[in-house]
Amino acid sequence: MEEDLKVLIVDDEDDLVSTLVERLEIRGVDATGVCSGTQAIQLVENNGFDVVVLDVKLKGEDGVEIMKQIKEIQPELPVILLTGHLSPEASEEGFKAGAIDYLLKPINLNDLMTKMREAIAVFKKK
Amino acid sequence: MNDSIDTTERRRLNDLSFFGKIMANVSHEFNNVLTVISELSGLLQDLSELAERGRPIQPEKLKQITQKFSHHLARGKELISHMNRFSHSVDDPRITLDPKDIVENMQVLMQRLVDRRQATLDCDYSGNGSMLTTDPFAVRHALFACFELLMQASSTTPAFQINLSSEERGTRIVVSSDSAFDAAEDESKWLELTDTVRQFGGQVALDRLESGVFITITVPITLNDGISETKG
Repeated sequence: MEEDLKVLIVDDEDDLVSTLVERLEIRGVDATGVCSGTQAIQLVENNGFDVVVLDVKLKGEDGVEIMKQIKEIQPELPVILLTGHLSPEASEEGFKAGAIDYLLKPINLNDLMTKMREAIAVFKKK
Repeated sequence: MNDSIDTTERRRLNDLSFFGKIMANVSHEFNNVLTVISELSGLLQDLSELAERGRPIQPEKLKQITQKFSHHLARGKELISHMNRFSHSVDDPRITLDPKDIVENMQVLMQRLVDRRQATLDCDYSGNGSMLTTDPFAVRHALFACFELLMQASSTTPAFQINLSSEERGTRIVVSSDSAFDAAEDESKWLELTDTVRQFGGQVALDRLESGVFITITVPITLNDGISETKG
């Protein structure tokens, strides 16, 4: 199945990023993975991603702050936040800062695919 | 409410807060381990399905995935083992132990917090040689309070160090950071530390030197009348 999706995965767990990228590629997704928010910010400007999947708690970096910086560069780029535990306060903060959705860890890949497609559809409608 | 009840209640709340922070931290880390294992398992399933459709799995690829499984299973096992040791530290407020075990236990449990700050934490046990009879939970709490104090006060990415050494009266644990620090920035945390150290009859001192900030806890060889003081 060929998916017309270009995705950036950001998480500080190397093995999670590489495995997730490989699984998405098997599904025909054009996936790129990085382990830091700084690397993500460098990539979003010129790479035409359709969606970013970003861990909230990165080593030495606040995922929500990284998302704000991504949004300054690409305001129309949807960002899905990845988190281990989601409190109502944390989700509100993320949505206020511009997240389009949340995904809980451990990840259900079908959920991720659905959320990515939905996120892109919402932004295309705008 | 008299002062003695205030102290007891404050200590209970501080202990509970410390326990909760450690558990929250470990559960986050364990969830990360499970997430990687879940994805590796999913990848194996994906590759199996591809193999059924005629794309064989390369032995080297299987070996690589197996090695990753082993690594993350060992990581999870270590976390569970240390979480279990930590949880049992509340069982008995007076046991004989090697203080190195406490520091090793806390080092593993605090590692995620260190990583999140992109800091480093090194431990030196070379000067340690004595066994102690003490309150294992209170010593852990004191160690964590030192770490939190130094962590909160560091604006840059600090290098933390824990040094363990034996002395005549007991064991000296020095927790240090190479960052600048102002104790007045978190008075309540400093009070929590001094209060916790009192529970095992120890002493605490803060030194600001050119090379950094040093918090020294002295844990006596045997638990003295610090406990009777707790009971007021």
